[in-house]
Amino acid sequence: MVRVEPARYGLRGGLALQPSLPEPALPFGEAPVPPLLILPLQSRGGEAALPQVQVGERVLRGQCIARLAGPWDAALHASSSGTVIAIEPRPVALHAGILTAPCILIRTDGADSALPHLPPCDPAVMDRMAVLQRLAEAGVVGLGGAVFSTAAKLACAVAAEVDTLILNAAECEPHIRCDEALLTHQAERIALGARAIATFLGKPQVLIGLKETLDSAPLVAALTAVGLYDARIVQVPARYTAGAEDLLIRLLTGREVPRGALPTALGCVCLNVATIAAAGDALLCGEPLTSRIVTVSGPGLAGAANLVVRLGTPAADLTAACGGYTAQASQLILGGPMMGLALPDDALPVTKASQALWVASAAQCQPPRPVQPCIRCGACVEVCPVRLLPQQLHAYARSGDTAALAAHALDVCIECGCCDVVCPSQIPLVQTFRAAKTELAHAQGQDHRAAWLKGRFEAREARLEQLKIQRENRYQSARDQLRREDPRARLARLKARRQTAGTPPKEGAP
Amino acid sequence: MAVLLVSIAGFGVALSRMAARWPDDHSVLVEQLESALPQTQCGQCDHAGCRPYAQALAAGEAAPNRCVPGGTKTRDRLLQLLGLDTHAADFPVPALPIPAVARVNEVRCVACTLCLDACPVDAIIGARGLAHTVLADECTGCALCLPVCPVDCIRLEPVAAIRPWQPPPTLQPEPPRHGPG
Repeated sequence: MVRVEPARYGLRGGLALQPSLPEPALPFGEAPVPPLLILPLQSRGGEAALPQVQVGERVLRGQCIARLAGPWDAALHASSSGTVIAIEPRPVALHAGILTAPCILIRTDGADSALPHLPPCDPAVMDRMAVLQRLAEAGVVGLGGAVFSTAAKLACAVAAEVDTLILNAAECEPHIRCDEALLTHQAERIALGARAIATFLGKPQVLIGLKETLDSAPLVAALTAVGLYDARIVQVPARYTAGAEDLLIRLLTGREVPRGALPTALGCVCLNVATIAAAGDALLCGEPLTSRIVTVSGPGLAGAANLVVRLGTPAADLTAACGGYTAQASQLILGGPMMGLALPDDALPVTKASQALWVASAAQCQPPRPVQPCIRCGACVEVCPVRLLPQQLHAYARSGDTAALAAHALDVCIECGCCDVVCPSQIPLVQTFRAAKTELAHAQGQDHRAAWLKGRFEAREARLEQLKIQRENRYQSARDQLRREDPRARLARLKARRQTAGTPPKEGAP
Repeated sequence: MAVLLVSIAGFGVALSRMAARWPDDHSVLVEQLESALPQTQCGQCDHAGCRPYAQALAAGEAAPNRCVPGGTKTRDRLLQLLGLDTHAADFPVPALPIPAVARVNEVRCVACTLCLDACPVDAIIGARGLAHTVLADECTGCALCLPVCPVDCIRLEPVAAIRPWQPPPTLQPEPPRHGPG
């Protein structure tokens, strides 16, 4: 019997940003296929994927249009049928901000014809390599916002022989309710995916971190239906940052991920429920990832809904699907209000990382108040979910003290923004930390480079020294040979050489 | 008495062993100074590399503001190691050069291998009769290859550097406010 139990371990810090009672359900439906799809070739930092299609080529839904070189890097697929009209740089919302990245533009034809699905790749009968390859091929990435390749994560989990599979349904940021829709309407997809991944990992214990305000009944029924009787649903508090991977692991198991280590070090692997559902589709139905659920809401919209959206749909098509803007609309936010990005305009597309689109009103987007000096109240320390000292870090970041920043574990900061919310002086703490992280990484990179260059310089010096010794030895042995030679024999040898060369020796030459 | 002599002798032997095992302060200082230097091996300090400069610094034969690519940061660290923290004003440093890497114009290169010998970190590859090229990841931008090239086919090209985020102007500390009255 699937058990539902309250969390035994508490959450430190964090913020109560949403109502503790269930909110009225949002309508659930499918967004129409837009006339133009914009599919960015870059998802995380790093290299852009290489296009596999030409401009002018006709593509079908589910056709691979770009891929990266790494074996576990996720591929990118056309999310509807149509014609590739351009491959050009466009502004897109990436984790680091609104950046210009190369994109594939597809003019859809409305037919939405799909490539035939791949054959199923059930982990119960297929070997692990085939399963990982399928996940990468089907473009499955973390849909909780990190967009890290699921194949890479599971490859790491297999290598570490994990004993716990954690499903993340904590959905802690306000206004993000896409996982709620998935749990309510498509719980069987989650259950099938969970069974497939659990089989793949060798039947670990399955824990599901479910937000306490969400109804567990559909999930319990679905898990029972697929035979995952041992799964445990743990109700986690509806507090912000309960859904951060390391914090959820602590909430569910009491185990704390060490600084700089991966959850696999503790024998845990954590996947978002949407990721699990997408992995299930890829493995059991052979269907690549071409759509995701996005919560479209906000006071600036006539309606609100959880929509199944084709990846690459511009924000404008989603707002139109929800009845269009109201007079209050003032700002578009892709993602939640805490970690989301303000979009410069509604032509930017939804990506695999987009969980929500929030149309804020002017009252919600007031210009930042003037920054005051830090009064050392310590409010930021109390809310920091990873137990850092934001006020200290801020002081060190401002004085550029990289050694102190490293000693105070700046790298552990998850940039959740809790400290920003509570700061009475309106100091942009997270922004400062982000900048400081970049500079710290740069400084550490310089140190590594210096050590590397020193090695090269020393290797060169050693090589030159070696060559010098060899040359000396050669000269020495030649001199020794000359000294040992009989003078008459030497004279005869020189004469013989002169005759073969046929030129008289220079006057005074030795 | 004999016990005392033996123990004194033993102590002496132990001391000499320790001296052999642990380096003296001078070589430790050279190590520390060297690790503070950027290892570009550019010779702009008029020494044949970062280590010779560190040795000269430790011996008190060189000024601590000669490292051009290190800038103020390296100067401050060197002063700290030399115990001259308070004398920063006496040692001005030139402006930090723009990070750059060398690039060979392969059309003009006559493949003479002269630049190969000039590069302190073996960042140029090539052979006689085969055009040379610079390994951009290894190049320190020291410019030592520029003067030796007989056809001037090597140029320094700036590399993209990170642009530090500036905090909003209001973040600067405010002047102290006086209480009422």
